[in-house]
Amino acid sequence: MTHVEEIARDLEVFLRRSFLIPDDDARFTRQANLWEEGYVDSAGVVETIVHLERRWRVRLPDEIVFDPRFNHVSGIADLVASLLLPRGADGAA
Amino acid sequence: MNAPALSTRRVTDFVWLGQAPWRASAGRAAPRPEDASSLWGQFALHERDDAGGHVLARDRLGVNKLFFAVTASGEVDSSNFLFDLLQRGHRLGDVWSVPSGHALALSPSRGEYRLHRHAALDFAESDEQALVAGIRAALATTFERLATLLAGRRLFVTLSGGLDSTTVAMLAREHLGEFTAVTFAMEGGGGESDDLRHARLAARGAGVPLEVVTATPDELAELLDLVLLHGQDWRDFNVHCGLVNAAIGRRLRQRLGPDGGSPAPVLLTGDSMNELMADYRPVVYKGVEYYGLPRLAGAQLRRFLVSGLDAGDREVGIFNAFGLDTVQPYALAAEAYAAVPGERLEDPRAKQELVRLVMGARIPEAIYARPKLRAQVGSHDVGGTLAAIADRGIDAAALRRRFADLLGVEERELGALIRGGRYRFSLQAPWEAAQA
Repeated sequence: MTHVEEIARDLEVFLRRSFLIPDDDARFTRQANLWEEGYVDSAGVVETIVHLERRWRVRLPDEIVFDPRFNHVSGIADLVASLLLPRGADGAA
Repeated sequence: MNAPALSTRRVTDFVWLGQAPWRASAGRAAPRPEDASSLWGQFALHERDDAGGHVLARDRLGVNKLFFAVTASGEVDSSNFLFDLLQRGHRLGDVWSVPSGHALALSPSRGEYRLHRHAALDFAESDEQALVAGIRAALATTFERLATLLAGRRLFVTLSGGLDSTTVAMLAREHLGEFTAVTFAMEGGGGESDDLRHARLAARGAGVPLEVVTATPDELAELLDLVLLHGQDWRDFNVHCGLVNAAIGRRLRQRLGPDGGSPAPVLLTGDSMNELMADYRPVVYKGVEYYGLPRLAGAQLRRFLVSGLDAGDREVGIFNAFGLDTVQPYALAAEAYAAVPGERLEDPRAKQELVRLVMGARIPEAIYARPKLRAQVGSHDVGGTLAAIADRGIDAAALRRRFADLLGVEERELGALIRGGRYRFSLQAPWEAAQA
């Protein structure tokens, strides 16, 4: 499994669990706009950032939330993967 | 835009450089963004030079707001108010903010766009002795500088009867002299509230007069559109707090009259302390939770609450609508409070203990001993404001809809305006972002 796929899968699980997204919600895909579709609110953005930082031991820069890729699971996974050292998620919690 | 015609005036900057106040001077070369690191204060600056260069800079916590747009012909238009730029014809998608603690060098004709972080809070923890000494020193410096910056201004201090505002009132009395304390109470509460009793006690302790501003739920609701626009936010915790400030601002403006505002009177407030001490809790009213927070604790919560001061203008923007300037002393002394250890923030009595160490007997004992009611947006009376608004069916979704309607934008666009407590900004030049 690539880092990107691993990050995306973990994030999807986190979002479903944290924001009570049903398994049968067909609109919730890895390309769904998390903010415009109302899956994650203002406080939820912060929880998502903290989850990613803890899980992958990276520090997300402030501006990342306004990167167009940060709108959806796939893009967020790409962004986080780009911040990881070549070792990737080794040692992640 | 669907907003009522509203007038704005430029928000006043309170800036200090070296040993003296700093003022912008026209006609010289624009400073470099790096120069902003020498500035202390509460500011949103837009400096221009004769060669088409601009430097825009915002204070460390982003107390003063700063938005800009670049026109097709390369002109840079800025304002403290988002809706100003929309009223001037810019689209929401073309408006950007300068993030808190950053300075931006911008020259469309030269293709220059450089964002530089000039100030950041260092959350390096201190032991108790160093922490208390650091806070005392930072507050002393803050109020000594304010004594110069605010000389000749008519002063008010908003006083809720809690520790944060009482501390500001006591320090203002020591360093700035006479002022009028102002407190808010909902009308029709049936007798004097606990907040009001403690505000009276604090005012007596400071030896200053207390003006009690009251409003009915209907009167608060009338202020909602103004609060949404001047408060530059739709989120309930900022809107409800902003309503209290709007009621205070309106009353002071009525009392001062049209000629009582030059130079503009200044309000000092206890805002920002709750962010620095991560001292917020959600509030449940009639089974609905309001003021939702990220499910984080201690240092993590503080980090995001403090960075979240970037968005929302519940004090400076709203008081500005009534011709009043605002100063937030805790934001000016933030570096000292940032040294509070994260573990300590998780103790519910952390703030009381810290204030006692810093202020000692200068705060009336009854205020230290006061049970914590609702630590929300700096005022215990926000509960009454919450009820006044919620009972009209104006919930979080309604506030968001109304905000979008007032700005004349699609509601979904708001998701890109405030995210994670920050107004949208870009590391990339707007003209490049448009091509991407």
